[in-house]
Amino acid sequence: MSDCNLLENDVDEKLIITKKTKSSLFSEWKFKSSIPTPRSSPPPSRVGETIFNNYNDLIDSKINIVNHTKQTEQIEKPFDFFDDEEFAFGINILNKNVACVGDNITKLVQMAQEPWPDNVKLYQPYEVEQILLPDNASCLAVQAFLKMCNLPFEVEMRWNAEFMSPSGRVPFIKCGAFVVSELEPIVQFAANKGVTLCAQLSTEEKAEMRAYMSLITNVLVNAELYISWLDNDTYNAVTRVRNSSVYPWPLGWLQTRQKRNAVAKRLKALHWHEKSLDQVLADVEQCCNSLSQRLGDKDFFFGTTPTELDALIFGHVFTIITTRLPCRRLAETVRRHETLVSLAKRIDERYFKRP
Amino acid sequence: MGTVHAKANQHDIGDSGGGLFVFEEPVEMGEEPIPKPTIKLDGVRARVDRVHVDGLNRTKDDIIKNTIDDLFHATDFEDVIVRAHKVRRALDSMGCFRDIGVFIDVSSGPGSTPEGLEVTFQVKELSRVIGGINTTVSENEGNLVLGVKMPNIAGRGEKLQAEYSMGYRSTSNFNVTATKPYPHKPLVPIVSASVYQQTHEYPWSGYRLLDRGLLMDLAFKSSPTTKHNLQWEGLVRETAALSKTTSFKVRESSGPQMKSILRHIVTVDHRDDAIFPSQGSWVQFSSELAGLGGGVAHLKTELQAQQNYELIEDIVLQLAGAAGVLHDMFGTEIPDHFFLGGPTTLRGFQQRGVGPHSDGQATGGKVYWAAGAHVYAPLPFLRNKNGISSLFRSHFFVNAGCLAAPDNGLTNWEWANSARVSCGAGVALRLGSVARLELNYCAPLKARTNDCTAHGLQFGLGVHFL
Repeated sequence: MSDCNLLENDVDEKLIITKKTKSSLFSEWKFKSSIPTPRSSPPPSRVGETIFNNYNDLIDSKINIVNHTKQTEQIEKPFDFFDDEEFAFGINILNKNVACVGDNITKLVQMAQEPWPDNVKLYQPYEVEQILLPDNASCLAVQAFLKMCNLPFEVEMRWNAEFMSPSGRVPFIKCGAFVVSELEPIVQFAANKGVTLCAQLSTEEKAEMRAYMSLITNVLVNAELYISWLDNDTYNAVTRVRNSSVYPWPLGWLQTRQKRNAVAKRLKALHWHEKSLDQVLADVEQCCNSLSQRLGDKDFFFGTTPTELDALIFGHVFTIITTRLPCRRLAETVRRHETLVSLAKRIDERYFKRP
Repeated sequence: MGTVHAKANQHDIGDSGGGLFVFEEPVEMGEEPIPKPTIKLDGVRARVDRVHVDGLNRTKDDIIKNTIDDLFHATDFEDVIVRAHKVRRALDSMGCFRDIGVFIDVSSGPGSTPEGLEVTFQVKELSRVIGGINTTVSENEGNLVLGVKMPNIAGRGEKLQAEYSMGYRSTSNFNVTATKPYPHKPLVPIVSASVYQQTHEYPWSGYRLLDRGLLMDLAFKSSPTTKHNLQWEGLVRETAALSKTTSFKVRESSGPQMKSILRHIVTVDHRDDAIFPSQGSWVQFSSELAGLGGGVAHLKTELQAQQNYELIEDIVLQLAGAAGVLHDMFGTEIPDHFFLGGPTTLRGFQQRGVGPHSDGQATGGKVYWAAGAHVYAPLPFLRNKNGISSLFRSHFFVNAGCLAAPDNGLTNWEWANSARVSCGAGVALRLGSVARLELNYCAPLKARTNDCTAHGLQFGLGVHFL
């Protein structure tokens, strides 16, 4: 209940929206997936409902939306665990992030269910001289997930990894004839092969996990993008130098400028562009608070085995605390939450054994 | 095209009754005018006293003087006419004038000599801005071009041109070109600079290119039949996979690249016609060095040659060959490789169908050779020389070629033995004076397992054919 109080305290004007969501909870739940799901039912307990309300509040405060039907598109590609039609829905998402040689759809579906091959490669930009904070976090999160699932893979570094990727974002994996990019589609792809970390979670816990993953995507990812690209100190000292290090001089300047404009446009659409650094750090603080309070003293978020949420948190927290930036405040903000830091260190020691 | 009028007084010509003779000018250079009366024109001594050029408005005098200077070296009447013809062609190629008429008269008045002639050129200058829509032909497709041109901006033949072209596979190509000719004989250099943006799709290889660049070109002639082009090109190229089904090897070349290229192209053309030659040879050698700046370094050389023999009347044997070597030092990707196969190169194979493929998509090679032997004949059963059937030719051909991407340098010569051969016959149609349309029935005789052959009818449209 503590996180319910926390969020309701500072958003008085959103009580109206909260009440609205409480009353129309059943219909809200249906809008989660674009295909009507006959089997889906609202969570029975109060905790799940509260989480859902808090999640809605946070989303509403971050994204300016007109009606709730648009909510599903705004959120970064949520996937639906509820239903047998998840597979069809999964294919929908897969189409945006997956490329495959061969265009026979039924054959594609069959090929996607074959067991995990031995020669899977994960592509990302050069770690030492090129990769930036947000990309590094995503790459680490995917690596952690694959290691947690015991799926073998090799890391390949390419300067043009983001252009090779079918969706334009790193990391992406090449698995046989499939090329899949970004964490959530990779999780869905592995689930289609029968590999998943959240098999023992209840429906309500899965919803909660999804809510927290969306929270991280909406807050931490955008904060990382803001600090890397819009904060002038960091941009000039780190981002610009690293991004243009792989190109010959005039091209590097052009590419970095183009990318900065694209990121600024994206953050403007999410209403993050006009925030000040303090507001961004306050949002990060709030997000970390709700995460660390949910984690409490436990080893992992849901029980004693890690899930996708742990992988995602590890990716972001570990990257933030180990990257040296001119603006130290982000690392300090995250470091204050010791439970998250210890979770990250635990996962690092267990899965990324360094001799 | 214009006519040449000549008037002469009776007593100057001499023997037979002189008179008016008029002839249409042929397109070919250097062809002698056919005089109708039986006068030996080269026996008539003449010289040019004065040359007038009427109709000049913004064109400056010095380039006109350079161009017509040749006329003063004529010694006899035939020479005068031939040189007047050449000067008229030179004025036409400056691109400043619309109609050029030549009048040759006896010179009279102060300073005239007894054998003196006065030549008057009457020109109409082109207007300041000209627009137009036309079509061009390039690699197996036609383009529609909308252009705006400003000819003769500062009076010395400079030209500024902006063009937007749309094609079947290339969308929105845009370029702005500025040209300045320097009519200094004998080199006649022309300097041009052009800024362009092109998008082009290559579905046979699965990628799309977006090129933005600057091209500076110096073209000059070291002899009447030898043309040189020295170019510097700086471009930013963005390669993207064309669709989701692009093979991974092609996907690996995605991303932006910057190239700075120095190129030299020398063309020697002794043929009598560019499209259906009946005799003469043509050689083109181009070498390209990339790497002075930019992220790509390679050396690419290509040699193309053609030789024509007329066997019997109207039946021509043509032998053609091409070879190219690409030496990659750093960063060369698939769009820079050589490709072979298609209706304009090795007939009987699909476009880019010869050579290494990855998942059905051509990845190109670093070395190639190709050869062709053709026999051209006019269409059978149609003997009307001047009708539309003169635009057609039927031909039989044998094409051979090989494309390889040797991994260990050129020490492994066995790739040269894996030639692909095809033969066939078809009909070719001339389009204007630069392009050709071909419809062939091809039979590939020898091919490797990875190649994509095209047995049967094949349709080709292009400028350069093997």
